[in-house]
Amino acid sequence: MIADSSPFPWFSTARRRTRRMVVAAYWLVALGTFGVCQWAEFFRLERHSGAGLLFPLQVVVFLPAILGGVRAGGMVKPFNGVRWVPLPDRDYTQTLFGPPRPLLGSMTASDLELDERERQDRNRVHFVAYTSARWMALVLLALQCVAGIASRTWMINFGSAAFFLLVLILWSLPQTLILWNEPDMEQPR
Amino acid sequence: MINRRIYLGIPMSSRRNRRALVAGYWSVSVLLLICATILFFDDPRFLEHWWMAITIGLLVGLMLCFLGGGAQLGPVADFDGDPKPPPRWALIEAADRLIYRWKHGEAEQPLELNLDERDRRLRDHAHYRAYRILRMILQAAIIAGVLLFTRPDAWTLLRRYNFVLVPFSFLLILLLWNLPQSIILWNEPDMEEPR
Repeated sequence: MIADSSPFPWFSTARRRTRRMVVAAYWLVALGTFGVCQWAEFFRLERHSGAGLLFPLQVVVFLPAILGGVRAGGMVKPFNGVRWVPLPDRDYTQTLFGPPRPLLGSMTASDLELDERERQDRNRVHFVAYTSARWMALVLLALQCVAGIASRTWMINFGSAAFFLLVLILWSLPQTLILWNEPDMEQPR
Repeated sequence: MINRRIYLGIPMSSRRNRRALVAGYWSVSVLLLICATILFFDDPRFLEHWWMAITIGLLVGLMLCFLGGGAQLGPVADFDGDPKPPPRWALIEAADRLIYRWKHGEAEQPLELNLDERDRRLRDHAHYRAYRILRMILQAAIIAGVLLFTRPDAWTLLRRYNFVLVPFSFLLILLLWNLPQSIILWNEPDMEEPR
């Protein structure tokens, strides 16, 4: 299920390293979000613009892009396969310095389509992810109700945070589960 | 994947009936949500009334269990493949057995409650599809949020209309708890009627 043309080949060969990368990615997201919220609070950005929203948006878009799954180019193969490639064969692009970098054309045939075992794995992982998200959403809703009774301001703040967490989980939990559970690959000699 | 021959008096062997059940369930749920939004959710303190909190809790519990997927309570088998029969307090189950006996003149033979390999695949695939649908809905919500935040009075608007958060959360929970079951009920082919 891990792409052969992974953007981080050193991380993707051993399960231990992949797990570390997943944990590091989530810590970065958590710390980054906390930092940006503090920064926005410090500069009172919420009174003037939606700048505080930009970082969470970036996280929601880029975390699945690194982990893969949703689109091609990440560590996990795209869940729906790749049906359309703009420059299918050798899409070398002109770069100013150094050799040209291959993009989608460098994807191997096995990265473009999932086989039967991988489809089953994908569906199974989505079942686990969906079930986890389901229970978590229920807990968040209960907390939101409690917070709503306590104070309306709390409900606004907690509701946004809960919503963000849910979005993050829905977008990246299956990829995380795949990266977490996939066994070690053979090292190229 | 279907563990009832009759549910609420409706024969579950026909795909048409199952689709009608799913369509009815979602229509009623969304209607209830809209009514609740209009009537109550603009003031989150409505939950302070104990009778209101209990009614809403029971209603949400019923909505979450209605299509099954857990504890053999609804028409879809337990997703974890738990072979235990439905609990004794499940009155709908007892009523359905009586209806079956009245219609067919014999006691209903219990269906296989274990999930076989095909059922597991179907369950996983339904969850995958449900996950994708939900992701698209959240994507649309994010775009709507970004468009909202381009307005200079975004925070004022959010504070004024924050009651939308609660029904939106309910809708999300509804989808998370019922979408895979709905997909299964919608797509399972007709079963053979017992003769």
